Amino acid sequence: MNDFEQKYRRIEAENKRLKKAVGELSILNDLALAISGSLDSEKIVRAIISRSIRAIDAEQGDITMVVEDKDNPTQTLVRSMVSTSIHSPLHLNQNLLGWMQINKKPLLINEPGNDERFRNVKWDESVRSLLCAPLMAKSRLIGILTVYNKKGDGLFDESDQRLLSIIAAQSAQVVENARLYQEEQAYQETRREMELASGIQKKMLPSSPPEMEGYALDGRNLTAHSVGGDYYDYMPLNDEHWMVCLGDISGKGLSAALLMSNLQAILRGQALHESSPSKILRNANIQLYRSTHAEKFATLFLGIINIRTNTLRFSSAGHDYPYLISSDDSLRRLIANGLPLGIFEWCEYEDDSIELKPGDSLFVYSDGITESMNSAEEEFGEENLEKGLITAGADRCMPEKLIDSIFNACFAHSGNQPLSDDMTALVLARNP
Amino acid sequence: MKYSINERYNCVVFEIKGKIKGGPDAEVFRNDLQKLIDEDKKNVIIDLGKVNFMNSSGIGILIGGFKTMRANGGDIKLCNADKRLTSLLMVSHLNTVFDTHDSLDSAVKAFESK
Repeated sequence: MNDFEQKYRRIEAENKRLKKAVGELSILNDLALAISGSLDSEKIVRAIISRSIRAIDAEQGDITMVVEDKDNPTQTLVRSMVSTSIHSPLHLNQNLLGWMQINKKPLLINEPGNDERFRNVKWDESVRSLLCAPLMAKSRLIGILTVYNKKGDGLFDESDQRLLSIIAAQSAQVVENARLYQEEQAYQETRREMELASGIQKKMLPSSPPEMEGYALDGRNLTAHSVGGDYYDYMPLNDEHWMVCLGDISGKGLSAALLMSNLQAILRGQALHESSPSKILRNANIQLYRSTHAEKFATLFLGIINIRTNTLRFSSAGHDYPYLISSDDSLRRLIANGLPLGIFEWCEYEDDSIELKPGDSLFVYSDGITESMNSAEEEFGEENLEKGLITAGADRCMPEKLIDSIFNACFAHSGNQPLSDDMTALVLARNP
Repeated sequence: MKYSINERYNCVVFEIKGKIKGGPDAEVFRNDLQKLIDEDKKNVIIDLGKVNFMNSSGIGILIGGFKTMRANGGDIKLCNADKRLTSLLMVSHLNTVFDTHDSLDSAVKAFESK
């Protein structure tokens, strides 16, 4: 071979190498363009697989996504798999998955049956060769890109392995970003659902103070979470009688909110049939008991006011005793004993009654008020509440103003601490 | 809800520290009670002396435990509730459900005389 021939061969080899490099770069460029503009995991994964197959000259390919098991961080679960063929018998078996999780590096197998590393693996007959590359994001294995069977009965070689590794490395973060984006979307969806639930729940509470002859009545509920477990309600039963109630369902969030709407339906139904508060509570207790777990219960105060005789009959299911503020600014508590609703199937409740005099005001509240805490974990407490009620003066007969002043006193106490529990109050005042 | 479990005479004493307020703790407590039932240890005392907070979910845990023990022929007695917890039990009328005692000794004696 003369000099010229030698030079020619060298240049030819160099050209070949450069052409291959240009080819690889164009594959990677094409892949980058295909996946960078998308946030759709499925589309991205399909683009990676199809381009890998073309680049490596393989028959099939798939990506197995793995995710850490939240309950058991040492375990990973196969989350999903996208493959070129739905009916493909070729997919990553558990042994390969395990190997990739431990080694986190490319794996090339050209003679599966004779591979020492996987001696006990039963290979599908159609697998002649395979090549895996890890998808790593922040040093974590998030998936495995695999291609199967080099076309034309060939073998995968080191340059295939190198190219597939580059493809995997270039794609991993995009795949991870798309997954995070989808998680975020799912979270937003849940949040919208919660907002919807919160809106529905707020509509279930009375929306504005009612017209009530000789009386002023109003209530307010501030939820600590987007949906809450506190509840107040009032409704006319006939020309003379109104029902007022305020309750607190144990627990928080959606489960408490669902139970609350159940309780409201029960009470509204019962109040139209039964004339005494204690009987309404007895029946509501049975119904709530039968539809809840033993650890879920509700405390409730329920009163029925006759606006002609000004008699308030009331009963309580383990709820904080409400206050009666008299026109001379003295306080007394309305005590009626009874267990919270939903604990035992058969419970009896006590009825008591008082007469509301002109200028008397009834203040019913939930423990979210007395238990609102400041940063030193000191509660607002009954003393502060009583102080606020006594000093309300003429405002005691203006429900909105009285509730404003008590809530504001709570906020002043708790500073910028977030609400830890729902705050709810209801005021029924006889006009002076 | 942190607690230690000790045995005293024929009773198992749960000494609870800090807050009783539901959450995953409830599950742990339930499982511990179930273990006691399986071991035929059914006299349970809950010492509330070091509890500084209990909300409605916390009361729910105690009620759930109480009902489980009663259903299995056992009982839960409470002791050392401070003024606030006592008034909480009184307002919710649960003092009529739970046998409550001023001291651990008195709760243990109550089981002895059973």
